[in-house]
Amino acid sequence: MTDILTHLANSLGTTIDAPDFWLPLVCYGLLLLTILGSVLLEGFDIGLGFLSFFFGHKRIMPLLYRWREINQFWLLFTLVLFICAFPKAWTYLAHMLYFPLTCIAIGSLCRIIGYELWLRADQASTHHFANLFRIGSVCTIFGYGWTLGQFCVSFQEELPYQIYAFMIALASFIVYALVGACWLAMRLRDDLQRQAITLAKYLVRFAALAIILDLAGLVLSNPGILNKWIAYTRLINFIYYWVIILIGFIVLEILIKRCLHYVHQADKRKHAILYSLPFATCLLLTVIILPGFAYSYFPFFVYGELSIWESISSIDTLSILWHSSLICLPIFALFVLYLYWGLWGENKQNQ
Amino acid sequence: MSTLTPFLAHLQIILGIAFTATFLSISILLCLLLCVLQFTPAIKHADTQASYRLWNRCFSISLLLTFAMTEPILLQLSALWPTIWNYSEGNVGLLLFIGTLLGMLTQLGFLRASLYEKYTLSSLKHRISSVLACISFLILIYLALLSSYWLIRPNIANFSSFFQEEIIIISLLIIASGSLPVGLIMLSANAWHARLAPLHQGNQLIQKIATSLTWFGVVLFTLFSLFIPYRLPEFWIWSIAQHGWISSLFFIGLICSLILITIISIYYQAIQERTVPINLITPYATVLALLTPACLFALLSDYVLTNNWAIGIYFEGIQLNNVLISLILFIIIYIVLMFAFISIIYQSAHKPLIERIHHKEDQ
Repeated sequence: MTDILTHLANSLGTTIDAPDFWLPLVCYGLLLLTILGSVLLEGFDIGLGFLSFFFGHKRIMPLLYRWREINQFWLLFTLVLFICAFPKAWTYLAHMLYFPLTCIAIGSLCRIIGYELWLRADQASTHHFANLFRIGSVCTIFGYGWTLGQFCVSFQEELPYQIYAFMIALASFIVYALVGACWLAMRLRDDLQRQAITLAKYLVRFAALAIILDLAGLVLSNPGILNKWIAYTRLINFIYYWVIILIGFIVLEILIKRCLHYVHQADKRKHAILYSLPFATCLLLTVIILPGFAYSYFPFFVYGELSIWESISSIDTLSILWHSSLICLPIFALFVLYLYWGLWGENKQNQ
Repeated sequence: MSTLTPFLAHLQIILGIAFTATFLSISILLCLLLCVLQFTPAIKHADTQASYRLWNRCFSISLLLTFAMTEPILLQLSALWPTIWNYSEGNVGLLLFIGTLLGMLTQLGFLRASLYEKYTLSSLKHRISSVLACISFLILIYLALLSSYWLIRPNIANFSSFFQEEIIIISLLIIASGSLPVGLIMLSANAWHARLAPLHQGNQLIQKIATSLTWFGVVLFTLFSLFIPYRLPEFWIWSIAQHGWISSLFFIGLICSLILITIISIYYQAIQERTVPINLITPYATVLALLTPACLFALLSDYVLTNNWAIGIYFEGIQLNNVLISLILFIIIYIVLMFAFISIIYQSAHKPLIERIHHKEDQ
């Protein structure tokens, strides 16, 4: 790793310990961490918004109550951090991603307001606001999926690439639904849990296919990224990476089948840990897959066109951002931990 | 076609800004009003507490709408004018970062109990958090305006100076401009409530506050429309030429508000005794309350943006159809959200809000 960084620093005409080299790198790390945090902690929420079409809002939406207030902020926080640290990259990407960003904006707005109005509405009108929340979830998943698709096809505008990106957007519904179903399997101990596990059983192979679609598109659509993965001795890492992901999905399927086997038993409390494992595996797979995407693009935001160091506006801004992050982020992390306390395990209020 | 695309792009952005600014002004004024109300002796009375809960709900929805709109506005600005973030050398981004952290602190910290209706009115903790919320909210508005100022006028902005008198005056004007919508919404909700039951002591207090606020708002907006040309000489000529229907809507709204508040002031006693069917016009009053300031905010924001950005909103490469589709979608969403806001206020005005909203979690 140090060799790669030294090589990068030399190619930029600087040294590894110079602030104009490491500050953008640290801020890039912060941005990736925020994106990872948002996918891990908000993913189930978005997935459940979509699943409420099938399982009904009266059961699903009350389960989200405790995390909606913090989940509203992930997108805003990520956006602002991106704009603050890498305004030039944001400028470029925002222009390329007009429709996906519009979808995300509409989705985010409908989800936040739909949920809050649902909380405050009369019983007679809750379904209107639940529909707003559901539509918002669909728009958000589609927007995120489309954005990911555009990254996978390296923003190429030809029709086949755009169709591929569109397919990735559709495939992301499966992934979000799987995460939501696994969370429900962990959280509930009633008939809905059985339905969620059954759904997860059907979704898991399609989700694996969706991930393969993403990664294959990413690697094959850009020769630079393909070269990065398979050239020289890196091919073995590439194989390890794919094997680990494959094993992850096999383990997930086995766990889901075990859950489905035990879900019919009378005393479900015996298997509390088992019910948590599919969701934990989903999170673990996210932690494995996302860095792969980051590695593919590193050190670029737009492959071969715009690097991390070309995307900043000034080192002074990054320096202030870094120092303020040193103070704020530990507090923020503790606060997030406090707010997400109770995310794991069974919903005690349903007993 | 070449002129229609930038026009629609402008329209998309100014509608977003107008929608947000209207709810921002409602939120900050209600935040201050509710904070003051907590320290008055009247809050000890059960009727006043019921009114407090109703308007706290109005405040919470309005604030959540405002906060929820920040993401779409950032994304719209970024997508329609991607080079916007390059002019200010990262200072605006930094201000946005600080503002976001402060916003999180305000919403998830100081205002958490108020927004999710988990407060006890008599507790000292709630009062202290309300005061802190007001302060942080004011700072937040100042930061939002300062970052907008830096974005709009990067050539003359002094990035080292955080304190600008002009921004403070604009912040105060935004707070004051909330008086017309807040006053009219309060009046209409009260009249709606009066249809079903006599106004209790809390409602009567709100009726007095609302009447004063509406008068203040009408006078303020009238003065505002008269004195704008002193600061921006071509403003009304430009507005009528560029956005004739928005300008007309503003003037119609202002005149109707004046007529409405005059009728309410004349029949003030009769409304309380339920001998005048004033409730028939209330839904229209609420729409007026939201549309009148929104129109002025839209006109002002477009005037400022068009005349200060050297290149206008960047639209090259973005096709007419794309802008048109997203504009239609956003307009539908704004209309839905406005009516949802009004319907929740009317629903809440029907019955006393004694239940906490998180009861739905336990269903």
